[in-house]
Amino acid sequence: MKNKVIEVTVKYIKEIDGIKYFTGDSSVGEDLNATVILAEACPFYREDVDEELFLDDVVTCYNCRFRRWAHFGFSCYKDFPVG
Amino acid sequence: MIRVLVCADDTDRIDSDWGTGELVSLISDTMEERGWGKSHGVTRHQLLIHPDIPYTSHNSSMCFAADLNEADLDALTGYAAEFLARESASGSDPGLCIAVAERVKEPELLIAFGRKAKDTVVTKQEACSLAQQLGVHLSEHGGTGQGVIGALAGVGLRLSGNDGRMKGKLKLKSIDGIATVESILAQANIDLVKSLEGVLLANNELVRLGNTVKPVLQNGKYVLLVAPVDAGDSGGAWQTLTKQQLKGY
Repeated sequence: MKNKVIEVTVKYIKEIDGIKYFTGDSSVGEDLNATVILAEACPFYREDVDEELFLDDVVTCYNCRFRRWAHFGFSCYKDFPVG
Repeated sequence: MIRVLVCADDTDRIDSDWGTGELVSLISDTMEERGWGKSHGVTRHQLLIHPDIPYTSHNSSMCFAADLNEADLDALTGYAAEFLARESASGSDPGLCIAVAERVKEPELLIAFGRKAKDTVVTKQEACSLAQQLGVHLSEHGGTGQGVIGALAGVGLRLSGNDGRMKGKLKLKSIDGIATVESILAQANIDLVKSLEGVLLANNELVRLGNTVKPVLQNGKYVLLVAPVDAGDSGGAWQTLTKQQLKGY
């Protein structure tokens, strides 16, 4: 599991202007799965309010209260703590 | 009766247990409990995601439309303002907009502002000037008051009748998760059931109800959008959209 988290972190999380962003594409299955791996390993994961959920019944960063949507993905108020 | 649009934005913080939608729903509920008017539901309106905009996590505003007793307009305005000032999260920047649809001087300008706020960074000064010009209530209730931008934009977008999705999800009766269009229309505040291509479904067509039964606003009506069922699924020709499919509305 830890290896998968590291793999995902290296592949998808990029630092731009001092802020880390998940840069995957939510419409791509593999990228979506990466956010599931991150969220399942995250000690701070918290489901957002219903109107802001992105996927049905999935633990993913896309559904987390602490993700902050950006033009090209999202950042994390907890700074992607699992990476 | 008059038609009012009530919208709030920037009431929460990242550590809040609720979102702006919850507060707006509570204002709508209180309005009905006090017999001031009848709500037509809360909708969510997505605004621009941009580095220069100080949004919390998704930059959306929440709005409801209502048929209101004209004599209760001041009571609703006073209540909503006091409620937001009291209940908004410490450190948030709440804004409130209340417009009487038939009294907005140039509604097309309000709609244009809403659309602009989806594509461009707009300023608080721009929002306040426009509200004054159009005769629309716009007030700030803490912090920087930056929420007035989203509040005014949300009213414009709701007024357009072509933006946003209903807050919450509808729980409808069905048989094994499948309901006729006629049954759906009879059970909920939904005006039409349409395919993504815009084809109107007939009353006897069958729809598989997913986890999220949530209408969107199109041409001033609540429309439940459906897609053809996935290959391999049995029963029903159509299914409701997933949250992911609804994200664009």
